[in-house]
Amino acid sequence: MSASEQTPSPSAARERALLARLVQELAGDQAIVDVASLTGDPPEADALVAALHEHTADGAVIACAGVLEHLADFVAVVEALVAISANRGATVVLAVPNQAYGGQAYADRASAWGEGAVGELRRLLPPDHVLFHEVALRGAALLPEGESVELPTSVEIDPRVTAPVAFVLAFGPRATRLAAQAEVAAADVRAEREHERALTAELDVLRAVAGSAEQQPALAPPNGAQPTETTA
Amino acid sequence: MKVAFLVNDLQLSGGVGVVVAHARQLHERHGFDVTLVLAREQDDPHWDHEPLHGLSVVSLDEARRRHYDVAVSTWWETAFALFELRAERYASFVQSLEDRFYRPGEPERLGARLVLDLPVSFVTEARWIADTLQDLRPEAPCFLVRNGIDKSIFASPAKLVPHTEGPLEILVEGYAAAWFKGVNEAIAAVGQMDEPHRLTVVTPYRDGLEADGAERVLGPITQRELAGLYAQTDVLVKLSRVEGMYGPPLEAFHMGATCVTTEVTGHEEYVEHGVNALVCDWDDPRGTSRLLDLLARDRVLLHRLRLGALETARAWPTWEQAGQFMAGALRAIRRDPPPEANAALGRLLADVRAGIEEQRHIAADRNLLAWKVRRYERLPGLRHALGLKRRPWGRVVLRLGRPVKRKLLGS
Repeated sequence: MSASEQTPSPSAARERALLARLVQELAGDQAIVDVASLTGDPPEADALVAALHEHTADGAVIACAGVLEHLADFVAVVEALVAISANRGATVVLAVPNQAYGGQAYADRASAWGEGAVGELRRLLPPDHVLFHEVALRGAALLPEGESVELPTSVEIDPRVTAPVAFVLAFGPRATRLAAQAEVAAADVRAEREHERALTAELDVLRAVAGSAEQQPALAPPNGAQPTETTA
Repeated sequence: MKVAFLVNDLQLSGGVGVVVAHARQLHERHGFDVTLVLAREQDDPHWDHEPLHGLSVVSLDEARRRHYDVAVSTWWETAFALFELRAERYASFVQSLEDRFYRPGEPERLGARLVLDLPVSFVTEARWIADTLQDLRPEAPCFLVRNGIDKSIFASPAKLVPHTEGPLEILVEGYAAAWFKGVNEAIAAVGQMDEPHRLTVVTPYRDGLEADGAERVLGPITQRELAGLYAQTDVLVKLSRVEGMYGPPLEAFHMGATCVTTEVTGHEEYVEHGVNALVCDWDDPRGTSRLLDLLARDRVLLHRLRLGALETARAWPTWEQAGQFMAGALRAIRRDPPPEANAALGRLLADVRAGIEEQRHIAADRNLLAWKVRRYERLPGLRHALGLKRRPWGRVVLRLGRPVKRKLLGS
């Protein structure tokens, strides 16, 4: 599974769709390089840097989402992206999650990302880069039973009352075209509940297995199966 | 790449520990040729401790004969030796705005301020310092590399067990002799609590320590032992007045302890009032003790804050991740042109001028004070007493008269 497909929940699909649309709009008729599709399993920085150099055409837009947090040596990839952007006029769109509010969902990541790490990352990017916060939206809609409707929505967001779920950074010739926008669609509560149930089931089974393993007698005695002296 | 870090000594605590941790990462994971340069003569040149293994340690004399890609000062006093090294680029690793370690009027304060005017690139470990440096020196490159946490030592528990009964376990740590650490103030605030509690004080030195009411006073101890203590702690109390990156609460967070803290610089990086800690007011021992009483009574709040602390810890980088940013910063410093020297010199001279003016005010204040003292000394009675004090037989008379004086003054 590529890094971009590992989503903490079905609602993250909407976040991916927003990013895909942004990249598509930036690229126009230029080529798009999806870094996630170039990462191996497990992701490896040197191979990825080589693949980037090989696949990036002049003026391309490079989308790097769901990648850095899986790499043990992400700075090498960042440096390569900066160099490719400078040498080939490529525009780079980077997205990293905000793990400060992700609980255990990000426990398996190779590096930790949040406001502080983004602050560190920004110092390694060209000074004219742009930063956007991705915030999650919640809402509700009223519609007649069984009817499809298209509703105009307007969202007012005060960044002080919410925390970003991810950070999107861009640099290169087209980076300044990036603008605030939102992607809204009906939430699939059935899929979300199903996702939670699957996680709960997995956790319950693992707990049960761990519990029964604790009750099993030890396969070997604590002395490493050495013969013991017995006293009559 | 050849990098020299200038250090004053290799006593592995605080700032030097951070430098060594970075040096190890650069050496072991990024293929850097790292040298630790001792910027001053050592009384006890003993550095055979485990974290230094594999790192080259040389004297300033020896370092002068070598050539480096980047030379980095790590404490304001080491900056005086920085340009004695031959290097392609010069940088300062700023761990705090160090002039704040000294009280107004102390000459070191000016020295610590002036080194921020040098024509160097900056690397710093806290966003508040990076923002300040950017304001002070907009033309100088400034990189941010937060300190990592050794998660093999400060290994977070998989599950946090609520502490529902028994006294509140409190820990106070730091150098009591450093006025800005607020160690004695923290102990005093704990002493004003009404609810049952147990206080542990951890300090490497006992100088200046007033640990009344503490169940135990420990130290010096290893990082691993400290982690073990944090694991038994509900709340760390920190009333510091000056901090850089503010590491101790973060280490406590990793072990599932929350914190009661002042709004000291560095806290804004990860402390959230009511989420993972409680923020108290300055100079408010009564209010601080009330917050601690609240935690002792409300165990749900205590557990919520401890869970918040643990969640904050999980999102904090390891030393491996911090080492990546340090490697990236040093490579960028080497690759990019150095900062413009003329702008730095202009700022340096302006600060020297300000320092001269400041010194002039201090001298004027001192002269005025001396003049006032002389006037009081000429008052009848005081003049005679002082006259007696200057003679040996007079001092004997004054000593004999002490009980009478005490009786008269009622003390």
